[in-house]
Amino acid sequence: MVRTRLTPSSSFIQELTTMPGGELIEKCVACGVCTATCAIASGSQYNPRQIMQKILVGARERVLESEQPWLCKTCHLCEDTCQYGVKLADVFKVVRKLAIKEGLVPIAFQQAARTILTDGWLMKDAYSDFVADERQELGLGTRLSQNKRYTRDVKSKFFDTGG
Amino acid sequence: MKEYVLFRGCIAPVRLPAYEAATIVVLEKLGIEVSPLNNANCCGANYIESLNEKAFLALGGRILALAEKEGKDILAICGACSGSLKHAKKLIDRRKRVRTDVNELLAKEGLEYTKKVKVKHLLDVFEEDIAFDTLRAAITNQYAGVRMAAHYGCHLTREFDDMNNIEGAKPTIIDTIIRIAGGRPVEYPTKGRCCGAPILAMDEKLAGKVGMEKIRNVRDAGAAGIVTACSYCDIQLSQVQFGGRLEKSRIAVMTLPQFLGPALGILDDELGMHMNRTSPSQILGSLTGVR
Repeated sequence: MVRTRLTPSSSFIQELTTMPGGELIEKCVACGVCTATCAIASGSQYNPRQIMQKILVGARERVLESEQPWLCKTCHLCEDTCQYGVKLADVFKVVRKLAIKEGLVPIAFQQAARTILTDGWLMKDAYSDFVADERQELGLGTRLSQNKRYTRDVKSKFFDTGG
Repeated sequence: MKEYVLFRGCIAPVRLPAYEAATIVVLEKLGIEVSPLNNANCCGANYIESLNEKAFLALGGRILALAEKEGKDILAICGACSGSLKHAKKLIDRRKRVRTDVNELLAKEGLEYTKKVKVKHLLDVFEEDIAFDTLRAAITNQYAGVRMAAHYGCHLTREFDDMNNIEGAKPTIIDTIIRIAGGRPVEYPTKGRCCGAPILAMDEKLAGKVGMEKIRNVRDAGAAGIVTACSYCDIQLSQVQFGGRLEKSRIAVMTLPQFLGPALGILDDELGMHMNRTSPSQILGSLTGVR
């Protein structure tokens, strides 16, 4: 059987398909099973099919400016049900990559990343004497400090230089 | 005796130390030794992972190398940590170039990663290292048929290639353990769905909505409690029951080792049972035998 590619062609799709993971967008027929399965989609504005459709019609700016690709929790439930083998989490990952290139990163992500790389971990400020007492009571070690020298090296190598 | 280093992650040691303690004491009872991996760093799940892949692999690579230095495989108890470490390992193992880059960063501390170390989540340990017959034989105080709902964390069981899961297979390990301990695992709609925790930072209200839907379904299925195997899931499914309007009765949320521990004759105190936000007393009340 000769198969015909029915995916609409746009420069945005071409841009995505050159990135690993992005090529999977070509399999999407926008059937909406992803949205029907998505835990986040029920009762919210988040709608994976809508993002896929916007990508398919090449609405680049609207996709990159949207917070929606950042709401994908990479739970991969939609990928279990997708009949066409689209890996939506991968597609959104590529979309986020492009958004990052244009400096469009949600504040929540920026803050968490800064904390992790500066402190070595996420919970330094939340670790109180009260928790240390609980740990002691449970017979667990109370020195939780993580290696921040290394994460700061990582920060200066990959982030501060804009890399 | 099988030995693991426990990569504690960020959340469990601070927000859920009872999970950490219960894991260690339960595995010890079943013949597996667990020691903490100290001076580690965050695995970079989600946040760093989304922003910069090289940085993400550098963080994961160091954790893998630290474990190799100890000569033990890694045990993670959080779905985000185990998922991201498995993913990082896959990417680093696949390409020599990536490995060289990571090792260059690690050389400063005299560390090196050579692909040897394995990453396991607690559920993998139950699947692969502990025979069900061994577990059955270790039960001293069976539950008398208490109805429990298993919650499988997305990042540790979903059927995608990093998670050591056979394609198309639905996870069953928590249900099996509930049954071996004398409980009755219940089915409920949205069983395979997410708890909502990963979007907490982006949209707290929406995260709560997702979590509560699950709680309602578990309640409608007549379960006394939920059994979890991820720090994020456990905290989230407890937390959502305290927000907004007052809940008449809360569904008890327990981690897997906390549920299993009492059936193995382990004392509640050692499992940090009193630290749970939702009371497990109805569930513990169904234990048989002398306690």
